[in-house]
Amino acid sequence: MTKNEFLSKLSEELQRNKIGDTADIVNEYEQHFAFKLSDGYSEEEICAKLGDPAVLAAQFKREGENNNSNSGKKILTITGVFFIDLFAGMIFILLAAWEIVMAALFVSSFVLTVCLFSGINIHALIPPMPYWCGVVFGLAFAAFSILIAIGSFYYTAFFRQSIRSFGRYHHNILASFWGKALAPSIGIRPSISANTARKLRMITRISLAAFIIFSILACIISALTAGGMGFWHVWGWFGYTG
Amino acid sequence: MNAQYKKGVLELCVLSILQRRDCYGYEISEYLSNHIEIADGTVYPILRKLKSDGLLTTYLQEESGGPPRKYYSLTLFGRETFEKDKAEYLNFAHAIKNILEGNDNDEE
Repeated sequence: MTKNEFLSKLSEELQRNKIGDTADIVNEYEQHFAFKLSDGYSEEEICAKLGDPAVLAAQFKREGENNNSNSGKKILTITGVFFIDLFAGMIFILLAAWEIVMAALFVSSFVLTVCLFSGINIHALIPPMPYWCGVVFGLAFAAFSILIAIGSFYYTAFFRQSIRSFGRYHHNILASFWGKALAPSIGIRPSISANTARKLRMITRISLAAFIIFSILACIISALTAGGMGFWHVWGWFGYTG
Repeated sequence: MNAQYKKGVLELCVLSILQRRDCYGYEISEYLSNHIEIADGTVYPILRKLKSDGLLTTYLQEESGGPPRKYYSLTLFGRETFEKDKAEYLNFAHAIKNILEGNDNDEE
């Protein structure tokens, strides 16, 4: 078989199998011939190694390509996907709101820590207390900030992963509907390396311990300094003195 | 070997070649036919299928003294699919090897 015979047989078979883009496919085989010919092979040899053009043309057929779904089913699926998206969208907005809450919690407890350490009291928002009591409370809030930061890190990772996971799910529903290939599904667990996870766990334990210890310590020191258990009454935190 | 089975493995091989670097069709065909016994022509239908599945994209690149070549490149989907399928295949092959050779000790 010569090059021209091969190519015309191939394009004939492709058309018979109703495979689109015949020119593009034939062009690919023409290039194959060009490479092989420049390597010194004869047209006969190249054809023999390529295989039977009829068999090759059949391999371009896609499985399940021509099962056209009826339009009623199509509308049903699209409506279903629309409602799933709507529902998921609302959940994602709620999740995003919690993300903002965590960020606000972190910023406020961090600012409070800085204020307590530096003795700055903007608009007298922090109730009056001796500086050293404030510092111990500040240490407790510093530990609390770290806990919240780690919490937000995990939460953000989870949030991102769940959006990716849902996006892939959405893609696969539509892909399976139109008979396209499915992409591998994405799990909801964010992938955090074992090393990072170990470090974060350790920091969490230390901060949690520090938070508990410094909170209790701050209360004890305050109670001793104020000379009474209800130090908040002694210092008039709620507008009256005990 | 069963043709359907071989086709799946060939797809994995094509992804593996493209995971290293972008290639034009002929390079892939040459590489595979040097390593396994297949008809040279079978690579092109596979490339086309992988492209329409969204695992590959193509781009044209000018070559000195010749027509532009069509290069194939893995998409992100392609990369993910390759990693997943590779792990699955290797596990599977390992299990089959144990069965065929009669090594059914459970320590591994």
